[in-house]
Order: sequence, then structure tokens, then C-alpha cells
Amino acid sequence: MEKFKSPSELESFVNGLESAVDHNKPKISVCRGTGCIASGASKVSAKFTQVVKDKNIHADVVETGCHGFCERGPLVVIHPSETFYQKVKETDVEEILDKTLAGGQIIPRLQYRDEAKIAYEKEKEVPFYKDQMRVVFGMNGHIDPTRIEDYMSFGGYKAFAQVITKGNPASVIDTVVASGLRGRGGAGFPAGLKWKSTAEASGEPKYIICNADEGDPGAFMDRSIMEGNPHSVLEGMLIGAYAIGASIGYIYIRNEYPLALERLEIALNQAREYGLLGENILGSGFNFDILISRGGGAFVCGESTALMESIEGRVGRPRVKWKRTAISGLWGKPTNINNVETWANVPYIFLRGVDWYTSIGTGDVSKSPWNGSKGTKIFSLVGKVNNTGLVEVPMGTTLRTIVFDIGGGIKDSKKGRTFKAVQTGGPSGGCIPSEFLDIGVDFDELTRLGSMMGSGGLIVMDDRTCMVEVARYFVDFLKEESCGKCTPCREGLRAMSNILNRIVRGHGRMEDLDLLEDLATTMVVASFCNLGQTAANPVLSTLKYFRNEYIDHIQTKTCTARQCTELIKFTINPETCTGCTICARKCPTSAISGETKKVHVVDQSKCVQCGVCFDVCNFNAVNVLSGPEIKDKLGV
Amino acid sequence: MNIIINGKDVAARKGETVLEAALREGYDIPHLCYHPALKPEGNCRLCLVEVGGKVTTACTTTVRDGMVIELDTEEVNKHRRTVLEMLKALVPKSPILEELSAKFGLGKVRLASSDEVCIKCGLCVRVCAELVGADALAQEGRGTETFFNPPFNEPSPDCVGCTACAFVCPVQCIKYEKTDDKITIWGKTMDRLRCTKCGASLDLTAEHMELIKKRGTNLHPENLNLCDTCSRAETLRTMKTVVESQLTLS
Amino acid sequence: MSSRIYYIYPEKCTGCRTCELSCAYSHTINGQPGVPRIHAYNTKPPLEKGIPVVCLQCDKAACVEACPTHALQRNMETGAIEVNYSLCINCHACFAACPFGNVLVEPITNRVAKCDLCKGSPKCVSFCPTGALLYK
Ligand SMILES: Cc1cc2nc3c(=O)[nH]c(=O)nc-3n(C[C@H](O)[C@H](O)[C@H](O)COP(=O)(O)O)c2cc1C
Ligand code: SF4
Ligand code: SF4
Ligand code: FES
Repeated sequence: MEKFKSPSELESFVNGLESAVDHNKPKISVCRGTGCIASGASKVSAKFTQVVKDKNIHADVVETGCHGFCERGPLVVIHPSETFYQKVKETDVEEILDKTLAGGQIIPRLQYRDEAKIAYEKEKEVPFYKDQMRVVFGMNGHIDPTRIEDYMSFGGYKAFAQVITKGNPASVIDTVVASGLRGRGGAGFPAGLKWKSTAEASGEPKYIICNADEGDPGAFMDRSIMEGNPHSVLEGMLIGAYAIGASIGYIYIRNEYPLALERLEIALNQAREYGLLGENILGSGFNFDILISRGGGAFVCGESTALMESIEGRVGRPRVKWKRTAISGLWGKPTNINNVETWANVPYIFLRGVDWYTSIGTGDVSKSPWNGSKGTKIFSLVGKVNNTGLVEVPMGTTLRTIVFDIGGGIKDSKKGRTFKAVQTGGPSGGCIPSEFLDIGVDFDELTRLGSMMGSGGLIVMDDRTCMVEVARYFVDFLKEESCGKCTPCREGLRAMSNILNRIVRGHGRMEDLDLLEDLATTMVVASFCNLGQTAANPVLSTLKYFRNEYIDHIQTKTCTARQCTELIKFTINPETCTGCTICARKCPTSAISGETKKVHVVDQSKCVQCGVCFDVCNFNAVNVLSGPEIKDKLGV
Repeated sequence: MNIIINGKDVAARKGETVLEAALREGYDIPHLCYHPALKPEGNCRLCLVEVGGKVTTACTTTVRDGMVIELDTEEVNKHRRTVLEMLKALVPKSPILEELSAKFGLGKVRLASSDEVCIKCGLCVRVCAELVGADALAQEGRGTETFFNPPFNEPSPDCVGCTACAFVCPVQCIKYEKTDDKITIWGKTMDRLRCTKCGASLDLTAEHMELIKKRGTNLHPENLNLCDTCSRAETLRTMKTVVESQLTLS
Repeated sequence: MSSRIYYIYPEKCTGCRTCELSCAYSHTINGQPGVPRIHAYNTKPPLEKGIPVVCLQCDKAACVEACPTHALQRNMETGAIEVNYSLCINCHACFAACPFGNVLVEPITNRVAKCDLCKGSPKCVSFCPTGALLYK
């Protein structure tokens, strides 16, 4: 492979690849993201490749990165018809090739059906995808992440070539400022302003870091970007490094991401072979290379100073910022840290222009990037919704659209489950109740509601989710992940955990609520790093919006959502029980007895409150009692 | 440069922290994890003050000319009390924490007690690594399971028995035992050196002496293992020779 | 550095040990006399006389080199090397390092102590009845 000697050489190469793409040639794209691989995608793609070769079929098989709808994997999309198949098995391959590719027929068995059993043919018609706007994920369903030429055939590295041609780092920064791009890793700091401070700081060498630690449980958008389109991250970093004057870049990636790591390494080598990394890049005199640093595995390592400690070879624990990272970061040198998704946004801003970028999202950033949230954001949608997975939407999309349109509404709504709240921002985010379903999700709205964007976790909760238990769950997670350095975070979380555990077990006291608030406010103000400063959010936001649930737990020992096992009892309603025996068969402790077609009864001494009977009963005959009801109905 | 503490102009030096300036000028800010010989780490969070209306830790804030600092606002005292309450729940029987509680009006601790002895300020580890240079201690675990001890809580090959860790510990929870010829700390027992002349027990171990020797070029190895009395006897002998020769000359 | 120097005239010393006493009383521990930083020794015949031994405030001092915390610093006004007790971690390295035996350990407090020239007006000098000590 020849190294490109000038930006124009690179640009014309990319143009050549772009125009050589035959958009009518049949293409079978098989998702090979971590999710689909787990459900068997490797076998499916191998089979496609083999059969296409054996039978000499005129089609390309592309093993792509994550399509986001992991729950339905393995996913296969047939182009150009865009036919969308889900849960594809190795044994389906020949049929797909025969019927769909050759015959243009749909295989109903493999189609996606929503809750109402309506089938959808094309990928973009599927509700999960319909309201999405896939920019950062735009190429994920089309390119093979292990081939740089695939990325280039969609215009990849053209933005970088144009930036080098222009030869004006300051104007690059101006463009990023004007685009309104804000950090996707947590705090939403305008990327352009951060770049500017680092560019203006004195000291050599300068570093840039890509934060790929992604420690939030349930979040995997960064992983999917790296697995599906690693070159977009590299191109973003190249543009950033050029603008800032950085000569070394680090990608700090968590150890649990072997596939992302492998694909990044392949991408880095390809970029080096083409002369896109190394010395005198594109003959411009710009030297830059990217190193990979593997994470220590703790949640707190994603915090910028802890991350730098870890790269420097120490234990990943936050350190005092005597000066801003832009002035004194990694090894005391000017450093710019951005999140994976932030970097991956950069090429598109240049490729499609600031006007296009600012047309997406909220606010007006013409005066300051702080005045809005521009571009798209990827959310990891999980919890009690019908469709879970990664969704990319314009900033400002309402929670209602995300939960009810893309997410397909609340799971088991037929059984009476209703929406209660959505938790955003990862473990230290907050819970937003239904009255705010129509707010447009962006950095400032979420913060205003006492939650945050965080890295983009969205957990949907239904009426059976106890909000005290939610707070307890996140506080216990954070208690384990606090680095232990400072008193308010370490001891505050310990104390909160004690209190919340006692409330969910029915041993709470009313004074506990004041105590929780005292602890929370001090943690916000006095903790050393952002982990501790935000760790009280789950408690504060649930206290704010769901205080009644706390009071019920304390005063009447009632779990409003009927979730806290020590406060509930399961009984069977003799009126509705049909004696179908399913509950008795599923009960793990054989606590339910009854004959076929006769009313069943729960033996309370054997019941462990696992809730299986409630979930399996098709006649809504299982009642969950809590608080005074228990005494009333059971007499205990 | 000047800073304004509680409304009064106070002289400050460029590059120092608010805590350093305030302490030097005679103001009292409670602090447990700060040691003047070490770079501040901001672990205990007790040295809260208000800088320009925002509550922050004095030990990690560098002074700026004209900085407005309030030491005892309602807000500061409230958070200080809560932090103190957390520390007292962690270590219920500590005289210094009692003293601070009385000073800042902390009443009954409302939190469940952990009955530990260490407040996890980390000074011991830093003193050992950064000052003594033995690097025998480590912060292990994380979150509430954070402990400070030799790695794996086993007697460390690196410990030199200097007891500096015990000396700097703000709650005096590091225990050691000295007999005439042994010192035991962190589960490791070491011999105390003896004066090579008179045999008196020295407050130093051979391991510690090795570290000290590395610090300078001007250290006289032949004198290191003498007690102060025997060293002075040597000095006296030298001086006597000088004096004798001078007296004979005159 | 200070232009003042501490002089010892051994020929004038009678070994009366007034210097030790004045030192102990000007460096008290809880109101009790502390350990004297100066020692006046009576030599045996044939040279029957006193010789004072005290910190030489060495230019390149071993105690300063040995101290890991920079707790030993020269007072530029008096020329004395002083212990800054807020920096001292009580490791006793200085005690080990001094080749002349002039860094001591105080018995009750277990803290190191050395001559600080009484911040510029050494009591031993003022109290020496024979003028064997001089600081000028
Ligand atoms: C406890 C904690 C964990 C964090 N974890 C991550 C992470 O996994 N990935 C990330 O990009 N940022 C994480 N951050 C945010 C980073 O500190 C930093 O703000 C971010 O990487 C900056 O990039 P951005 O401006 O592009 O968002 C974390 C912050 C805290 C306090
Ligand atoms: S807030 Fe404190 S204890 Fe918590 S992670 Fe940050 S530094 Fe560690
Ligand atoms: S005992 Fe104090 S003054 Fe002496 S060397 Fe140790 S720290 Fe320095
Ligand atoms: S003294 Fe400042 S945080 Fe401990």
C-alpha cells in the first residue's frame, strides 16, 4: 500500500472509491456487533459468505458493526431492497438467498413484528428505526469495520483531507465551536472551546485522549461505534489533533471490550499504512500517532483525572487539578479529552457542513455553543419497553417519541403495566416522571429536571418499579464504584446505602428522609470528583418526584409498586383463578397448591416472593399485597 | 498579593494554597489529611471554606490576588458538620474528632457506626512513599472497602520501621511496639541498631539506615551507627587534639 | 547568609557547664528544663580543662541531607539550621546523620532537637562566665 503524499492524493482516492460503489449490486449486511455475535451472527455470516461463493451468487456479504437492535439479533439487511430480517439462524441462509435475494420474496417468519403483530419489511420502516436519525451510526449497517476502504467509499477521511488542504488549524476550531458540538461523555462541555484552550496552552508535546472507558452499566454506544466504525473515531481524532497541535493521541479503552480493541488496532494499522498516522502526514509536516491504553476496569477510571493517572501507570483514582487539563493534563502537558462519540461526530461536521449540523438539535448556538444541544445523541434504551437497543436521535427528541415510538411502548401493557419514569444519565443520573414525557431531551433540559445526559443511558420503568428500590440499586452500585478517596462520597454512599436498605425492608424512619437530604447536599458540594458530586442524584430525584413512595414504605410499610420483597405477599384471587395450574408448576419453592380447575392457594410460609406466579398467570388472578392490606386480607 | 479572609486583608504568597495562607496568618481551618511536607490531596474534605461564594476545600485551592474567602458561613459549617458526622460514624472513638465536633457543634451522630479506627485520609501511604521513600504501604480496595496497609496486609519487605506513618496519622490509629532491641509495626518485627561503641539501643533499624545513606553524599558511614553521646566523644577527641596542638604552639 | 558566626575559645573554657544549664532552661518541655544542645566536657589530665561541643551549623550539613521532608532549614538571619516541626515526621534520620552527635532526641517527647542559636541571641553565649563562647 502506498502512503498518500498529499491531501489531494487522498481526496481523489476517496472520490474514486465513492464513485466506484455500485449501489444496485445486491448486498447482504450481517450485523457482527458484540450483541449479534452473542446470538450467533458469526455462523450466519460465515454461511452467507460460503454459499455466495459456492453458488457464485452476484452479491457482496458485508460483516458490519452493530445496528443497535441487538435484542433481535442476529440481524440481516438485504440491499438494495433494505429488507430487514431478525433472529436469523444459519439454517435460514439458503432460504434468504433463494427467496429474497433471487426471488424478491419476503420470508414472513424472519420479519420483525411489533406488539400488535404487524410485520415490517424495510429496515427504515421498522418503528425502532423509523424515528431515528443515524449519523454517527449511519455507516454501521453498511461497512465492514475491518476495511478502511469501506469507510472511504462512504466519504471517509475526505473531511481530514480537506482540513489539511485548507491548512488552517484555527479555522477548524472555529468550525467546531460554531457547530455547537458538546461532549457526549458526561458534562456536555463544548468541544470547540476545550480544543481552543488546549491549542492556546503552552507546552510540548500536546496530547489528545479518546475516553473509551464506558463504565455505565447498560451503556454500549461507544463500544458499538468502535466496533462498527472505528475509522470515524480516528478521523475525528486526526482533525482534532491537527487543530490543537497535538502529536500523540491515546485511546483509553476498557479491558472488557476485546472486539472493539481488535477493530481499533486493525484500523490504526491501516491508517498507518496509508500514511494517515505517523510522520509528515499527507506531506503537510503534521506528525501524529495514536496509542492504545487499556483501562483498569473501574467505573471511576472514566473520570478524566483518574483516567490520566491510569495512563501514567498509577492506580486510576482522581487527582487534584491544580491547573485545567487543557493546560496541564497528561504528564503535566496540555491535554484534550473527549468521549468516543464526541470524536466520531467531528468528521460529519466537516463533511456535511456546520449549517447542516446546527439544523439538527435544540437552541441557537450562533452566539455560544452553550446555548443549545446540536447534532444527534445515541441512547441506550433499556428497561420495561418493547424494543431495547441503541437509538440515535436528534437532540431535542421527546422522551415520548423515544419510549413510545422507537421503544414501542411499555412491555406487558396488555397486562396493565404503565409508564412510571425514565432514568437517564447512568448510575448517577436521575429519574424523570411521566409529566415530563414531552420535554425534548438535551443537555440543559435533563439537568434542569435534576437528571443529566451522562453518557446516554435511558432506563424505562413501569408501575411495578419501586422508586426507592431504584435509588437503593444505584446507590449500592456507586458505593462499590466510589474510589474511596474522599469522605463524602465514600461515607455518604455507605450511609445512604444503609438507610435505603432499611427503608426497602420496612425499617425506615421519617427522620431518614431529612438525613438522606443532608447527606446528599453535602455530597454534591463537598465530594472530590464528579462521581461523588453526582452520586446523590438517584436519591435526590426520587425524593423530589416520588417522595410518597418513601413515605409509604416508612409509615405503612407499603411498597407502592409491589416490588420490595420484604413488604409484599402474593395471594391468589379465588374469583379469577381458573385452576390452570401454571403458577403451581412454575413456583420454585412449590408454595402453591391446588388441583386442576380448582382454586389455587399460596402457602405463605413457603413463598419467597419471587413473583413468578404473578408473571405467568394469564388471568390476572395473582394479587400482590403490601402494607395494611396484608393484615386485612391475610390476617397476619 | 492579598487575599480577603472573613473580610480582612491578609497577605498571601503566589502559588500557596488558601489553607497554607490562612494557617500561617493564624486562622483556624480544620484539616486532617493535609501535611505541610506533602502536596495536598483533598481527601478528608474537612477544610471546607467559601471562595467567592462557592464551597470548596482550602487545601486544594491556590490563592489568587483579591480572592474573597469566608471561613465560617452557615453553609460551610453545615457541610463541615455533615462530613464530620460521616467521619465520626466511621471512627467513633477518636479524641481529635471529639474535639472538632465540640468546636463545630456537631451533636449526636445519626449514622450507623462502622467501628473502624482509620479515617482513610491516606497520609500514612503518602508519607511512606513520598517522604521516607520506603513505599511500603498501599491503599487497597475501593469504596467503603478501602484500607491502608502494607500490600495484601502482609508484613512488607519494604517497611523500614521508621514509624513516620504512625507519627503523622491524625487519629493515631497506627500502633507499634518498641522494646530495647526490637520494633514491631504493621506485623513486621525488626532489630533496632545498637551503637557500635557503647551498645546503646538506637531508634533506627538497619533497613532505615540503608534508606538514609542513599539520601546524601555528605553522610559519614563510620559515624552513622553511633549514638549521639559516642559521636560527641569522637568530636571531643578531635577538638582535644586541635586544642592540644594550639596550646603547645602558644 | 548571616554574617554572624559562633566562636568557641576552648582555651577560655573551664568546664563549668553553665552553658548546658542555660540551654536546658531556654529549651523547656512542659515547663521543665529540656535537653541541652551544648555539652561542655571536662578533659582528663594532663590537659585539664573544659571543651564545649555544640552544633557547627555546617555549610553542607549531613542532617539537612538526610532529612526527607526539608524540615531542616537554615535561618538566613541567624545562620542556624532549625527544625521546622510542622514538616518533621519524626523519623530521626537527622539524629543518625549528624557525625558530631549534635542532633539529639528529647526523652519525653521523643522528638529531635538541635541548637537553633536561640533565634539569634544564644543563651549559652550570654551566660558563659569566661567568654569562651562568642556570637558576632
Ligand atoms: C465517575 C465518572 C465516570 C466517567 N466515565 C466516563 C466514561 O466512561 N466515558 C466518557 O467518555 N466519559 C466519562 N466521564 C466523563 C469524563 O470525565 C469527561 O468529562 C469526558 O470524557 C470528556 O469528554 P467529552 O467532553 O467529549 O464528553 C466520567 C466522569 C465521571 C465523573
Ligand atoms: S468523589 Fe471522592 S471517593 Fe468518590 S470517586 Fe471521586 S474522589 Fe473517589
Ligand atoms: S526527624 Fe524530622 S528533622 Fe530529622 S530528618 Fe526526620 S523529618 Fe527531618
Ligand atoms: S485537609 Fe483539605 S481535604 Fe483534608
